Amino acid sequence: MKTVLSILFIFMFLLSPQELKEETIYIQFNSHSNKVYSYETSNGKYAKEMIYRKEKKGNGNYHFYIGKELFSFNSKKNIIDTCSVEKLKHISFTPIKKAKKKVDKTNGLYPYKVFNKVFLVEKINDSVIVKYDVKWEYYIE
Amino acid sequence: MKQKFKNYLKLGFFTLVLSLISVNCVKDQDIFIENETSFKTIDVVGQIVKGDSIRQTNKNLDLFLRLRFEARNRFSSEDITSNIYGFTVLTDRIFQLNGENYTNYIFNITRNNSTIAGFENYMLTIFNDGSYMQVLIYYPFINNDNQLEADINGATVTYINDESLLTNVESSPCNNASEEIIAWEEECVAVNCGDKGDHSPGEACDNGDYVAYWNCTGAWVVTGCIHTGNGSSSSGSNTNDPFPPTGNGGNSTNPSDPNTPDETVPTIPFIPAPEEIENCLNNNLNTTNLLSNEDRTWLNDRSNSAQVNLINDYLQNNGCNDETMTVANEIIGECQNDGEFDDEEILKAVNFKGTKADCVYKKLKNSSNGFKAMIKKFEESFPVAHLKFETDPTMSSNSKKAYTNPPENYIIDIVINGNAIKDASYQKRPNLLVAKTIIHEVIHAEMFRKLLSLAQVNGEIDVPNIQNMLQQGDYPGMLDYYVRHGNSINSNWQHAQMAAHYRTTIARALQEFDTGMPVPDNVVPQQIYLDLSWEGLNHSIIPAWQDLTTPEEKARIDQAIDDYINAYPNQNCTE
Repeated sequence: MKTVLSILFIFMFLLSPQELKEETIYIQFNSHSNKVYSYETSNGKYAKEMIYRKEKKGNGNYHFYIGKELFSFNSKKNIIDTCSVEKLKHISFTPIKKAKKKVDKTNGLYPYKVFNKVFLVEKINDSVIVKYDVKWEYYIE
Repeated sequence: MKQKFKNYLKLGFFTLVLSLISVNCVKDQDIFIENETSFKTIDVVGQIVKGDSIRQTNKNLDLFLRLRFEARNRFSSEDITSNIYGFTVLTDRIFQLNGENYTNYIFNITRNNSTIAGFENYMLTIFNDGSYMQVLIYYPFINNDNQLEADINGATVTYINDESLLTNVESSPCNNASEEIIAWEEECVAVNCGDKGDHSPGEACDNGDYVAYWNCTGAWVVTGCIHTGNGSSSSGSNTNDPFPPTGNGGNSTNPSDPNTPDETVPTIPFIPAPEEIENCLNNNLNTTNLLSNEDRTWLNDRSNSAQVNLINDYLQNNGCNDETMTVANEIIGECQNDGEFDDEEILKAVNFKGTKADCVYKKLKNSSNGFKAMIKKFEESFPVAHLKFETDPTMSSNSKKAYTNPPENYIIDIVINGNAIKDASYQKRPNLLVAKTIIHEVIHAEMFRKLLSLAQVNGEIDVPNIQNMLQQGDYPGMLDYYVRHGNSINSNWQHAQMAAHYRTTIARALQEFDTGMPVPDNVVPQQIYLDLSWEGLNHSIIPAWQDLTTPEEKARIDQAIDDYINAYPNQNCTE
């Protein structure tokens, strides 16, 4: 139950829901957030972890985590798009909860096949945002 | 390096096969034939010829060799020494391997400090565009009934660069030549017991410590040029060619040669490996082009020829189809990142090879028949899926030991936490629990493999189809857990099934890994291994964990795992 609550907690910090009318979705990646969620490590023991985690890999690749969800960015296949923060006004973000629901219903093992494109949008500072064309990946520990 | 040499061998064998199936017109020439090898089912004879015999017959070849190998020879009229690498090329025997775009010349060499551990060949490859490549091939000896034989499968190749061995590099002497008749040939010399006695190989020496033995060396032996097409070769047409093909032991088609056959010589043209691979991966009508420009550049880089040939062999042996194409494409990508297949077709990323995790994997495979059986399902010639191991040195989680991705392009990826500062990393964890993690993830891979075998599209699990099949009861074992855990393909049903049905398997493999002793199927593993097998499955949402008798028992198991981790921190693994 705690895990479920933790995941629900994540979505409180996302923007208001939008309908998944298009195949391309934008998900906010709030790298400045200090919010954490908790998850069970073993036998009722819980650990806390930052909701938004960004891992730099080799060759300019990144792994982004939002809670337990993994989004990978491959610099060989995609480029990073840097925009003015003004662009935020024109982006309709999809709550990850809603996107996840569609993934679970449609193709839980291959989330990247559910949407045509998934963009993570990271606000770098007050004037710049960065848009990553990412692959949403399923994994099991 | 071993892999690289295998490709040379495979290239040789490939050449041999082409020759055997296509050529039946080798003619006797006016050269001294040392030996003949008849191939069983095909009317072809392989010949070893003496270098001076070829040269007497073919003055152009003689000139060619003098230009390349003898002009700077300070020690004898025949041989030339590389001062950089400290060996002398022996030119009394010439081994020649021809391709459409290249010619290999293979020579025996000697060194002042030669040992009886093995012997070496020097191979010069001259490409048609005038460039060249030099390699040293080292063959270790293996003892076979007191006969030291070259272990051609254990040979290694070293690229060298010594221009002093060449005075000129021109176009291929066998211009337009196709493949050659080749065979591995050995010369054996009886080695006596030092200066004393006259002992036959195998006979004990007087001091009783040693026996006389055979010392065998050899090389790939090729005779002359064999031409493709309509029998009219390029010979004589290229006045700049210092070595136009003549009657030098093969079926040359030089018009001046009275023995030139008039009829067509049916041979299969040699297609370079990069071209073969590209033909498969980019010209298949059913798929989009798989190769990027970077991939093509890598394929055509001659320094990668060994790996490229291996990939081509894989496609040749298994056919060009969706599965082999995707696997080959994956390998090409991995090779560019310095990854490679190991001998059992398990893909290991470069960040996995040679690590403690790799060491544990190897030991686990050697010690546990159960684990070996699991892995074998991914190793067969036509497995449903391939397994790939990698580590992630920047994984941020302090609790995630590893994870497994569902199959993509027939490859199931297992990623192990390789962030050395994290408690969950393989570096910090005890070897036994790294082994547990690997087993745990391989079981996930096996479950994915089963799903893939039921329904797949382009190497991925066909999820809608699987859901239908499971709900129709086509796979009752999985169905049970699937339905009971939310009817969702990515629910926790895999862990639930693993906790209920695989823990003893895990514990048995762990005990075998730890003790080196097999644990029969009818023997319950020791308690500590059963306890450790719970790691990763001891969660409140796992029914088997919920069903454990008492909270005290759960706490005991948890404590046993923690105690073990604390007892063996940062453990090293040695093979």
